[in-house]
Amino acid sequence: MLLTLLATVGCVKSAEQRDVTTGAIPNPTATPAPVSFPQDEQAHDSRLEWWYHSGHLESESGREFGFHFVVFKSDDGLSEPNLVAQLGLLDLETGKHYDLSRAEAGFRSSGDSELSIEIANWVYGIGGRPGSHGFAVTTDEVSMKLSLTAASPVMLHNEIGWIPSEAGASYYYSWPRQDAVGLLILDGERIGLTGTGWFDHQWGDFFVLGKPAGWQWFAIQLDDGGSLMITEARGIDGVMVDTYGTYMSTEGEAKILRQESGGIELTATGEWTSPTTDATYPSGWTLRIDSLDLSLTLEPVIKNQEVQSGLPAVSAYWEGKARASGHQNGEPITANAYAELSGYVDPGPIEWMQR
Amino acid sequence: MLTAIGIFAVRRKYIVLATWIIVILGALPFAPRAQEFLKPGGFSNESFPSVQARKVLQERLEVTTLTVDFVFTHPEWSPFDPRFSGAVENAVEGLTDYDEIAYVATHLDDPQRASAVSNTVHVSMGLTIELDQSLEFLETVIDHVDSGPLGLVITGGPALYRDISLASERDLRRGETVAFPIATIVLLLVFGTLVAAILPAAVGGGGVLAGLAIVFFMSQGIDMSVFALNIVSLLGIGIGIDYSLFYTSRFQEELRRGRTVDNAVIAAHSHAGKAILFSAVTSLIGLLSLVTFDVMMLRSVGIGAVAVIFAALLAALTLMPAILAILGHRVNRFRVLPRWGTNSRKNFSFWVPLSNWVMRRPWLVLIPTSTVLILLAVPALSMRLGTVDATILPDSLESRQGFDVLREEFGFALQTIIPVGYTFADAAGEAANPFAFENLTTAYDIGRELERVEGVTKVTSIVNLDPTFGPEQYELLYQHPEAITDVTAAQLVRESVRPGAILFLVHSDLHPFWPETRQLVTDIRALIPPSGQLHVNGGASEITDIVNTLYGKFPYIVGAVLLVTYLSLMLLFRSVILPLKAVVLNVLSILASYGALVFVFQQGHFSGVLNFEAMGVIEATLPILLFAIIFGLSMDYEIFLLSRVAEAYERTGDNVASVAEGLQRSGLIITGAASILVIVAASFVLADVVVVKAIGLGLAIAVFVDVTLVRALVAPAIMRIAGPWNWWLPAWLDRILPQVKHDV
Repeated sequence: MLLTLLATVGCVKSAEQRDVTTGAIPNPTATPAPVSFPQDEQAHDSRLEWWYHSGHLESESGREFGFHFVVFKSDDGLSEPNLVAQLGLLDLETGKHYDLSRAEAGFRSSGDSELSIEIANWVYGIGGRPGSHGFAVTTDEVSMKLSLTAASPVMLHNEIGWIPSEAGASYYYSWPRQDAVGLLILDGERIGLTGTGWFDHQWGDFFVLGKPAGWQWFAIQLDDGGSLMITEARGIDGVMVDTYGTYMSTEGEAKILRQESGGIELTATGEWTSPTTDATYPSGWTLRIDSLDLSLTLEPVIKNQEVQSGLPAVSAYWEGKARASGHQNGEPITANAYAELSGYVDPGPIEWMQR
Repeated sequence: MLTAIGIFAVRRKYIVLATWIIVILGALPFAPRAQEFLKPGGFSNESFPSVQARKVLQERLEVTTLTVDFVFTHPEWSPFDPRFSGAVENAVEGLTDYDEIAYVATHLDDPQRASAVSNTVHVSMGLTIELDQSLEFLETVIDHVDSGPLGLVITGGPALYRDISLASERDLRRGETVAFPIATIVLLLVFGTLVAAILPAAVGGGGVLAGLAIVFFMSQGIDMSVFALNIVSLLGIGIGIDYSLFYTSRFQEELRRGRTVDNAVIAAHSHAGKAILFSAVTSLIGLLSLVTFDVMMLRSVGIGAVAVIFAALLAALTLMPAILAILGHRVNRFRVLPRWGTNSRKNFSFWVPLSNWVMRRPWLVLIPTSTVLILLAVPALSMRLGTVDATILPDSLESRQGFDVLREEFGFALQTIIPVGYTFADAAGEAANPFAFENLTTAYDIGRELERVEGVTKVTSIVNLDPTFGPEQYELLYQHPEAITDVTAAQLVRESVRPGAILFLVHSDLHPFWPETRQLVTDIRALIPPSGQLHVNGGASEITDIVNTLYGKFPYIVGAVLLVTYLSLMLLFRSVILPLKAVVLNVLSILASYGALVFVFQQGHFSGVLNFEAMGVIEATLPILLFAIIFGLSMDYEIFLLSRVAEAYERTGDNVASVAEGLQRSGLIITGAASILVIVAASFVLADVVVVKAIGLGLAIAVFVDVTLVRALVAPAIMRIAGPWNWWLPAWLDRILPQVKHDV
C-alpha cells in the first residue's frame, strides 16, 4: 500500500516528445460587424479603446476655452485593463494650457446601457442615449464637469466604421457635433460654459506605433454647420501610407474622402519644438480637398499644447485647438478645429540593443 | 566490545565525566550558533532541469527570479495621487545604483502595481545576486529605503527566508523550552525519583548540545539547510532522552536484583546498551536513506540526524554509565511518586489484563484496530504533493503580511506562470537578431504550440500579442521595436528578448502546487522546437523536478529500507513471519501519520486550533522525512517488544504466554519512551513554521498510534493468531543465517 501510494502520489503521465508544428497560421481577422447603438458606445473586449472628446467652450462673459478629454483603456488579456484619463484645457484668456491625468488599474462600470467609468477620482459617463456623454474632473488646479449631447448624426468612418491598418484593425466612429454645457472651477473661480464638442470612439486589437510611425488628425467644425475629419497616417517606416477622412454636411450627409479619389493635400506650414520632450511637431497647415472644393489654412491658437501627463514619454503627443479659414465652393469659410499629432517624440533606446 | 566500553566508563568514571564536561563546555558556545552557516531553502538542486533553465534564462535573457517586494500604503492618498507617487519615487531613488539590483518597477512603470481595492502599491526590485547573498544585502536595502509618510511592508524571497530563519530559531527555542520540562515530568512518572528523572533529560540535553555543535562545524564545510535545524533538534532531544531512559531503567532493575553499583552499570550496559546500539542502528538505516537524495534539505536532515543520534548514542554509552557509577543508589533519591519499577509484579496491573484480554480475543482486537489504522491511513490516498510558500510562516511576520497583500490584492501565487526560454541554434551575428523573420517564425510556431498545451490559458511573448498576426506582421511591427507604445508590447520588447533568445510566459489557471501543473510542465518539456532549444523554468517547474527527483527514487529507497530491516530482524529473531509482521505494522504506522498529515495540513482540519493556514498540499519532502524518522523509531519499539517475547519464548516455548509476558515487561518502558517522544514532537506543533509543525504532528501521531494501537494491540493479536508460525524458519535458512543473540 505504501509503495502504491508512493508510486502514484508523485507521478504524472510521462509525455511523448513531440515536434513543434511548423507553419502555424494566424487566426483570420474577424469580419467587421456593423457598428450599432447604443451598445457600441460602451466598452469592448479589445486590446485598445478610447473615448475622446474635444471642443470649443465659452463662458457667458465670452471667455474662450478649448478642451480635450480622453479615456484610454488598454487590455493585454492577462490582468485588469489599465485606464488613463487625460484632460487638456486651454484658457485663451491667459494662454495657459493645463495638462492633467489620472490612471487606474481595473475597469469598474455600472449598468448595461449606461456606463460610468471611474479613473481614480475622475468619472466618465456614457448615457443610454447615443451621443450623450459627460465627465467630472477634480484636481487641485481645475475642477470641470461637462455634459455633451449629440447635435448631429453619427459619422462612421470608412463607410462602416472599420479602419484596417498594418498594425491591426479598429472600429472608429464620431459624433462630430455635440452640444456642451458645464461648469469649470479654475483657481477658485466658477465659470459656466457652453459650446460645441467632437467625440471619437475607437476600439480594436491594434497597436499604436511611435516615431517614425504616427499620424496627423484634424476634427474641423466648419461655421456653415459642416464637419470634417481628416487623418494622415504614417507607416512603421515613417512614410505616409494613407490619408482619409469623412465629411458631414449641415444636413447630416456623410461623404467618405480618400486620397486616391478625393485629392486630399495636407501640407505643414511651420513647426514647433517642445521644450519638454524635444519633439518637433508640425505647427500650421494648409489643407486642400478637391472633392469638396475646400481649401483651409489652419493655425494652432497657441503653439504649446503638448500632452504628456499620465503616459510613457514615447507616447507624448500634441493635441490642440486651432482656427481655420479658407474657401469652400468659392465662398469664404472659417472653422474651429482640434488637431492631434502623434509619433513625433524620439523613443528612448532599448537598453539591451545598445550593447 | 560493548561490555568493555561499559567497564571502562565505570572504572574511569571521573575521567569520562570530565571529558564530557569539557566536550559540553566546548560545545556550549557553538551549539546555539548551529544555524549560523545553514543555508536558506535547500529544496532544489543544481542538476534539476528547472535550475539549469533558470541559469540559461538569467544568462541569455537576463531574467531575474529573485525579487524584494515593497508594499506601500497610505490611509487616504490614492496610489496615483502625486503625493503618494512622489513618496514612492523618493523611497526607491538611488536603488538602481547598486550593482546587486537589476531593476526597480513601480506603479508608475506598470499601473497594475497599484491595487484596485485599496491605497496600496506593489514595487518590485529585481536582484542580480543569489539568495544566500541577498539576506545580507536586504539589510542595506532596508536602511536605504525611507518610506516617509507611507506605510511599508517588505516581502519577497530574501525577506521570506530571513523570517523563516528567525521563526525556525524561535521555534527551536520554544520547542526546547516546552519539551524538556514536560519530558522531565514524564520521566518522573516513570521513575518516581527526581534524580532518575532529571538524569535522562540532562544526558539527552548534553547529547543534543554536542550534536548541534557538530552541525555548526559540519555546516561550514557542507551545504546544510536551515530547515534541518528543528528536525535535528527534535530528534536529538527525543532519542537522547529515550536512550537514557532505557539505560537508567535497566540500571535500576539490575540494582533491584541486588547487584553492586558497578556490576549493575555493566549489566545495564551489556543489555540496555545493546538495545540502544541496535536502536541507533535501525534509526540510522532510515535516516541515512535521506543522504541519498539530491536535495539539500533532506540530505542535511540526514547528516544532522546522524550527528545528533551519534552524539546521543555516545552520551548514552559513555556518559550515562559514568554518571550512574558515580550516583549509584542515589539515582533513587528524592522520591516524589510511589515506587512502580518495571520489574515489579504489581506494576503489571494494566499490562497484564490487557495482554490477557488480547490473547483471549485476538480477532476481536485485530479486526477493529486494523480497521481504525486503515481508516486513519485512508486520507493519505488523496495526498497532493507540493512545495512551500510564504504561507508556512505565521501572519505575525512582516514578510508573510506583505505576501498576503500581494496574494489578495494582486493575485500572487494563485495562478501559474511558467517562463519558457527559447534559445536559437545560431546565436551569433545577424542570426541572433530576435526580430529577424526566421527567428520570429520559429518563435511564432513555438508560441502557438504552447497555446495548445492542455491547461494553458494564455501565452505572453513578442509573438503572442495578437492571434490574427502572423510572422510577417510581427516582423513589420518590430521594424522599430523602440517605437512601440503599447505598454505590454513595449515591456516585452525590453524585457523578454535578447540576441539569440526569446522568452515565453505560459499562463495557467492551475495552482502552482497542483499535480496537474506538474503535468503541464511535463507536457511543455516534451516539445521539441524546429531549431534551438526550450528551457522551462519557474516555481512549478522546480516543484516538478523536486517531486520527480524525490519520488522517482523514494519507492526504491523504501523498498531497500524495508528489505534491510526485514533481513536484520530475521537475523535477530530467526523468524520469517515476525520480521514481516514488524515491517508491515511499521508501514501501517507511517501510513496513519500520512493520513493525519493530509487530513490536517492538506485539507485544513483543525487549522484554527493549530493556528496555521491549510497548505492544500503536503510539502514534498515531508512524507520522506517522516518515513525516515518514524521507521527507525517504530522499529525501536518493535525490537524492544519482540526481544522480550523472544526471550520468554526461548525460556518457555509457550507462544501465548511469551507474547503476554513480552507485552507486560516492555509496556511501561515503551510507553514512557514513546510518551517523551510524542511530547517532544508535539511541542513542535507550537512552531510558527508550518512545515516544522507538520513534522511535529506527523511524528507525534505516528508514535502515538504505534505504541497504542500497533504495539499494544495489533502486534500481540497477530502473534497470538500466528501461533507457532511466529517462530518458523526453514531449516536451510536456519543453517545459513549467522547466529546473533537477541538478548536486548
